[in-house]
Amino acid sequence: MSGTPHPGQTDQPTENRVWDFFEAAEESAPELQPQALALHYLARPVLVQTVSGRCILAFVDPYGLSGLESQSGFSKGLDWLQGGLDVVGTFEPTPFADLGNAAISGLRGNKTDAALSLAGVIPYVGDAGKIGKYLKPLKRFGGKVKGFFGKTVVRGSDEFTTALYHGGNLRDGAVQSRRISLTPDVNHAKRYADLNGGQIYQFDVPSTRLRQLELDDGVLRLQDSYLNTGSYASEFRFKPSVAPELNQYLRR
Amino acid sequence: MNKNDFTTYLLAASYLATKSGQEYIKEKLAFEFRFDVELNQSYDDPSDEGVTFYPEDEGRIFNDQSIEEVTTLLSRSGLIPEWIDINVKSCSKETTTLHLSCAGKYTDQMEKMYYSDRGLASFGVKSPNLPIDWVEGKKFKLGK
Repeated sequence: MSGTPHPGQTDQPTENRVWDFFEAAEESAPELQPQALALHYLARPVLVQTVSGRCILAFVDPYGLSGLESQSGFSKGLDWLQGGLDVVGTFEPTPFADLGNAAISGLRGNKTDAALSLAGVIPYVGDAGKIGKYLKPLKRFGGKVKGFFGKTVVRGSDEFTTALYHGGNLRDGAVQSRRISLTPDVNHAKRYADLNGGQIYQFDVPSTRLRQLELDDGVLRLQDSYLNTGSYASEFRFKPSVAPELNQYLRR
Repeated sequence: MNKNDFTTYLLAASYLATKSGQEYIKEKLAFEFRFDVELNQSYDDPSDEGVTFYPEDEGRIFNDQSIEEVTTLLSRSGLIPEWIDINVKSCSKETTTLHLSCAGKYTDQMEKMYYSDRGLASFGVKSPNLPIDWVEGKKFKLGK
């Protein structure tokens, strides 16, 4: 298993990574789909900026802990409309799309967006400001994207931890230099603990760190069938190299 | 457990791992199996009494094995690993490669085999390794 590329981790061409972004946006944040689509046209260089072949969105909110602002259906519809107008306004030389967009933003009380749309009246040059506008939904996840064409650094929500459990017997009460499977499902861990007369160990892993380990291929996710019920329990299979770090998160 | 019984369990587990793996994977999986085997993957204390270990297995990996080769490798004088995690690793049009991650402890007692309550002796059927950002119900491409 070690050294095996993660199934989703490939050195694929830039163009494909853009589509990966769309898929990620659609799956993890459907609300961002229209914005992502617009961004595709407006800010492709930003979109494809990745670390280890992963899209930016994946870095900003590792487990969706920050959440999205709730929006009404009407508000979402306006977002769609304005996203479309932004795209049209970028390529269409007349000012009508941008002026219309500015008016809608003004009515919605979004002064900055209105100003950006007004700037878009200047063909092409004025459209540059829209890039910033579409980075806002990404920042809303609680992260921060730095750099432009260089390395992406994102600060997530460090205060969150993910409780993971291991059922069994850890030699000397600590993770040894072996792979280890942890699960967020305490009942699933208990089943394994009962099997060998072991106990349950709890690891409070910072969520952002867990995410980073996934990105670095230090942990693989899989599912295990659960007590013959037909349902499944998630497992995180950590590589041996992560063992010393895991011991720091072990609740004593 | 004799070798024939082990082969039967291995085939059953391979079938289940492939069938359940198909729920995650876009490619059509073939029921012609090859195996990548990793030995001695557990946290064992060699001083444990009544447990059979094979210290020479440390770090040994066997790729592209046939069912017969796996049986020879893992069924040792009636003893087999206490647990063997099995999941789909890769695939081609003709074959599905399954990953076998094996405990370092060997036993001939069914009650010590981790998944005997599931009717699979030592075999624990797991999903394929899930891609980052995998969403339940969404299939992904596995590749070769």
